[in-house]
Amino acid sequence: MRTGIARFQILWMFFIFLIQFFILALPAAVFGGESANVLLINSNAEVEKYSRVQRAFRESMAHPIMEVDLGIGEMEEKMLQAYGPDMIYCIGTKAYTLAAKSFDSRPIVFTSIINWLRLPLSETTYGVSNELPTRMPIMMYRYIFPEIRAIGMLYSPYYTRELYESAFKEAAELGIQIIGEEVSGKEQSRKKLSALLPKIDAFWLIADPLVIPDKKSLYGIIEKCDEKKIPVFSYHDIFAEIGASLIVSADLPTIGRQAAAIASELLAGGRPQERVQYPAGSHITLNLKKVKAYNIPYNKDALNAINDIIQ
Amino acid sequence: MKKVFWIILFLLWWMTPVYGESITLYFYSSETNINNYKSLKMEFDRFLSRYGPYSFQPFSERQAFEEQIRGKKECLVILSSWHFRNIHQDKKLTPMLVGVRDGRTYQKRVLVAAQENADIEAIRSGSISSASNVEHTRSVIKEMFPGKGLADGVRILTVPKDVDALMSVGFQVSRAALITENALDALKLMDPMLYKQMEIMAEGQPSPLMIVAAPEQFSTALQVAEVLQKMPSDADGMNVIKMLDLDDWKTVSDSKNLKAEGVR
Repeated sequence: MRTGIARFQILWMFFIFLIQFFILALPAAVFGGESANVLLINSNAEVEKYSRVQRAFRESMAHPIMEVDLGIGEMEEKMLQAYGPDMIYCIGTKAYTLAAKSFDSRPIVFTSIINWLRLPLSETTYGVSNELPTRMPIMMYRYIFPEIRAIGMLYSPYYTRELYESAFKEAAELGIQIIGEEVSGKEQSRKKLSALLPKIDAFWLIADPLVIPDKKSLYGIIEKCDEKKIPVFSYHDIFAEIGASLIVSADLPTIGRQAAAIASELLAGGRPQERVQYPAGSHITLNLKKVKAYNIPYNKDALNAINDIIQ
Repeated sequence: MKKVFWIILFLLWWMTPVYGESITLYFYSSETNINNYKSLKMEFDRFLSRYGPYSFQPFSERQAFEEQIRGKKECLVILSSWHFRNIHQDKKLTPMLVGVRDGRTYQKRVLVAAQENADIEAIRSGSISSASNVEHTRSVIKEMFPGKGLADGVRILTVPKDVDALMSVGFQVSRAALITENALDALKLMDPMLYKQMEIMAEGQPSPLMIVAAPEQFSTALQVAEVLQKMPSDADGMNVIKMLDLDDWKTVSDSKNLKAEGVR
């Protein structure tokens, strides 16, 4: 039964591909035209963070776009090549891997890839990274909470030492001290956090598999900070729902618009200033309920920069 | 049984003025890419509900906003002065309030670039970041550089906030940022080093801050406008108005220069 469904999904995807092919590619081939063909490959359009980026790209792009969703089923390289795209836009690692294998000389633009530095990049690869520049969240922490001077951070030497070092340097330039504790095993987070809490005004929770190895550790960190009324700053809205005070993350539609801008520039024969850009937009969530409960002074003039306020 | 019926009828009659048709405040901003609609709606509704059957409806798209207010007789609209100037005749809107920030009802936009890219040709080959919509951004750039062809040729990258536009210049995503003067002042506090790297390339004409307007036939509009004017004196109201990057409202008759600016 499942094989039948899978076969139907692949057939359906092929059918959609053919329809798009006839609508987009054939008129240009038969009647000519200056419009370039863009192939968009999404690793899985059902994943919201991917679909939002895709929507923004589509809305900002003037050229015809052939859209392929790998969430429906696998796609053969030959089918993709048959479209003859002038540029390929990939959302997610799966999409990028397929595009890099299928097109060796066409420009490829990627987004929504965690740690893009591990990817094999060619001379024609461009993209937008998934992570904001380290300075951006620190700047917002300082702007929203002007009285906070010392921020604690747990990091591991293998996964996040570079992030810690960069944060340490950037924060110092902004008059904030980052106090770090190294975590080298999965059970160490809570103990290291206890040592850190008396020295800090806020705790910056970063994505590190040794700092947050599981759900229990995550809740443990949030609870421990809550006991001492230390606000937690982090990178994903989900943490605000469980008690973090401030979330600074990349704005997804802006990433899609940036990818469209890079693609347009490449198609026009230009060359972007940076091969891989930082996200240009931020999304900020403030848990005002926690901020008030901890009695932390905040800058009301900064409220216009907040996207979501939890009261 | 009959008694209960009459009591219910009386209660319904008595409650009618309180829970009558609600009055909606429609909001769309072309000048700032405000996208905190969920929070704005919740906070505005919470504040407004204390004063009567009022509700707040923000829009992310200009077209949807304009279609929604078409033909509406009893509502208030909150929009940028630039947008108001474009649609007030067609929609027969009268300005009632203008936003105030730091005691001023006007703001100026500036185009800033990193010192090494502060010339038109460098900007033309890259993009300009802006938190305003593309149409408004091009119109301000045209006004800043008349006859230079920059407004129509340059790529515009729409970002959520002025601070994002500034950061995008700092991290070389864009060549320049179109922001308010106020945002540049805020950068001085946020990141003094980045502030020092920025150079103002052009200044736009001063334009009034956000406008609250009502359809000409709306006879009790003043009553609703008075509710908005209570915002600064109330802690929750102050938080709401700050989300619009304002700190007060002023009646339009107080702002003598609005007429001269073509807002009326």
